[in-house]
Amino acid sequence: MLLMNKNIAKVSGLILISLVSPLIHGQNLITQDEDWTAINIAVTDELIVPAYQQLESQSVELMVATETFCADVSSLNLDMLKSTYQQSMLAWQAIQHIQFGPITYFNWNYRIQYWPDERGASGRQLDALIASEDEAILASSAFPRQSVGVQGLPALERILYDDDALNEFQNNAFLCSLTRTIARNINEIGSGVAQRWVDEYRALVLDPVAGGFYESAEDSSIDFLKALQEGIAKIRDLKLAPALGESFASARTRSAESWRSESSLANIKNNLNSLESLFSAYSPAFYEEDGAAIDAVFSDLATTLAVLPDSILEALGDERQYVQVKALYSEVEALHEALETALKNTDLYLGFNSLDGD
Amino acid sequence: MSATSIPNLPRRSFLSLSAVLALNPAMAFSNDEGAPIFLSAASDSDDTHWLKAFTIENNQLIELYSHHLRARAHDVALSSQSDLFVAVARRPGRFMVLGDIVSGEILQEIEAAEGRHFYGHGVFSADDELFYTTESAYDDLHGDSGRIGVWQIHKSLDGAVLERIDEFPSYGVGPHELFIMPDQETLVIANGGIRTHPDSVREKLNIDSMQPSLVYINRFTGERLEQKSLPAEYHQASIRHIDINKQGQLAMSMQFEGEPFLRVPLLATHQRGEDIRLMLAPEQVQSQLAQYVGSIRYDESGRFLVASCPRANVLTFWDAHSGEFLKQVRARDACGVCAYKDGFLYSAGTGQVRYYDLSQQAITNFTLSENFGTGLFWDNHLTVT
Repeated sequence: MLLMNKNIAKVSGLILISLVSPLIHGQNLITQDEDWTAINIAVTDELIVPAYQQLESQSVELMVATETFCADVSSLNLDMLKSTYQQSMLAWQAIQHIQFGPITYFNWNYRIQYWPDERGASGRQLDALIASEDEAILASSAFPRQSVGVQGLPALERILYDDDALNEFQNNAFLCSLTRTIARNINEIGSGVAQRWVDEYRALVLDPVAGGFYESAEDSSIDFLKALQEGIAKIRDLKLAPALGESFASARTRSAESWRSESSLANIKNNLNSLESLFSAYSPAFYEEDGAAIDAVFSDLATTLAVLPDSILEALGDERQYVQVKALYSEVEALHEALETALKNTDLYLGFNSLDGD
Repeated sequence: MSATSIPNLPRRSFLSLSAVLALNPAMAFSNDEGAPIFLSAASDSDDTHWLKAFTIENNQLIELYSHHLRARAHDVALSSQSDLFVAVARRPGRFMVLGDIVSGEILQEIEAAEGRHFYGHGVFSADDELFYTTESAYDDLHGDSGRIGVWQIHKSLDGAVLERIDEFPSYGVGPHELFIMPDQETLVIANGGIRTHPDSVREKLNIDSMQPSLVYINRFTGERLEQKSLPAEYHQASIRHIDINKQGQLAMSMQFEGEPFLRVPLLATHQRGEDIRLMLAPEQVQSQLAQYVGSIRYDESGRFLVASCPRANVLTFWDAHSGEFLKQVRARDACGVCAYKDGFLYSAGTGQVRYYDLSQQAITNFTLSENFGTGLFWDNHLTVT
């Protein structure tokens, strides 16, 4: 209610002053609820829901490929399964930045991808699970309650990209049971999130009510803008900085996401594509020059990524490419700063206490 | 630090609010006696930091005064005897501001002792003789570096000043909020357990080995009377904020530093001599709290608790008697809470201040008077006279 009153006050204020003076910084450029709603609808229906549906359909492919592989454990089928796994991971990367709404239910976000795993707990837990050969744990009633580290995409990557994977699958039927279970689990999460967005969360986002979960269309938009900002920060702080280390000699490639499947930089490409689409949808909320600055950094990032391989192992193993990855990091840093500047010039608040409490 | 009080506010302290308002007819209240004054630290979009005082009139917040601060303050402690307040710098800050609640006059700007920094909280003794602060002896990198600063309050016709006269160990690391128990002799301290150093400002140095605790000490001698820890599995739940009710029950809130997906209690109550009683919300609520509580306060009756969860954008309400979760209310970026009327006033990083009435289960919004300016973020804690 407060927001709406404020907006109404501003709308009438703008009508009066717009004839005589240009907009000054520190205002919302979007002053009407309907304008926020239009963007929220486009983002929800054209970006978010389709991305979750894509994740769901990739996870069906993953289940099918798992069955094919387990029916005939061959090198060819393993390669096909790996490639299907990669498609699933890329589908997840395209929507990984959304860390609010249904993905946070039932620990789905951690169960689909527990990363970074700074203590390496997942590897130990996965080894213990495989050693146990306990089929009871794999039951659909039991598996979701196991450690998050054994349930999702990183666990699958660990199993499929083991140097001796084919041989191990041939000698241990439990590995196929486990792989099937993880694929089914990823599918349950993917379809669960997609379903809940369509059935419940979409309405929450698009029909805000005073005193409700979202109380205005601007309030809904804040969560998407936070996802944008946090998604950029995650690439900078978790995906690039630890792997880069202090220098070429001290690069830590195993700190990178998806290093085993050599798709760390492919993940980042997918993240940035999604983040760029999200920003572009909300660009009317920003001053034109601020938006142009952000567009320019996205464009620099695309140029830098175009000459880099998908594998961060490969990139960080070559001194010239290391410099390129470092440049990529600086550009992501610049993107974050440009967004911060753009936000500062409006009166949009993404969070204060939620970001920096004590 | 420059005082930017509203023009016409009397500079002399210890005047009643009604006297202030008589001189400021624009701020006249219908209720001369009971209009409470709220104090909170705030920042604005220019990264300027403030101490602000306001009152409520006709669903509008009216700014009474505003002081520019050199950095963020955290909590504002109020005397129950006099009109004194102390705003304490946020960790790892080294300043406090002593002032007069009613006039808004700043009486003293205080620096931390050599080798000490504050944690943003302090408490007055009921007799207004002493003031206590939680501090860090940060160069002690291995031992229990938590300290309780003991400050003498010297009053004169010109106002009052604080003088640091002693310090006690806090029997832990990272002491945060502290209170004096109803016996007026016992100081209770939440040792958050997290070691930090001003050189690496917000880096947490001991997450694997942290040992938070609740400590009761004799406030005159520093003698440790009782010390309580959470069960070992929750040693990464940093006990940060506490409150006590008139019945002597203590409530504490935690910030869990371990895995984000674990089901870990973030609230608990304690009675002297008993075990800590942990409190959990139903799974679908608890799992959304992001392992983080910002502030905790009893309501006026001491029966109900509010715990603000700014990372989850909710306030949670609890029955302090039974320990049961009652309900949650959506409140974007809300952190500061204080008991007010039949519920709680709460402030948010969005600049909004609202009132939640427990019996009506209704939210009241307030507009801000024009002198507040725009682009204001309310900081973590809100205090009321």
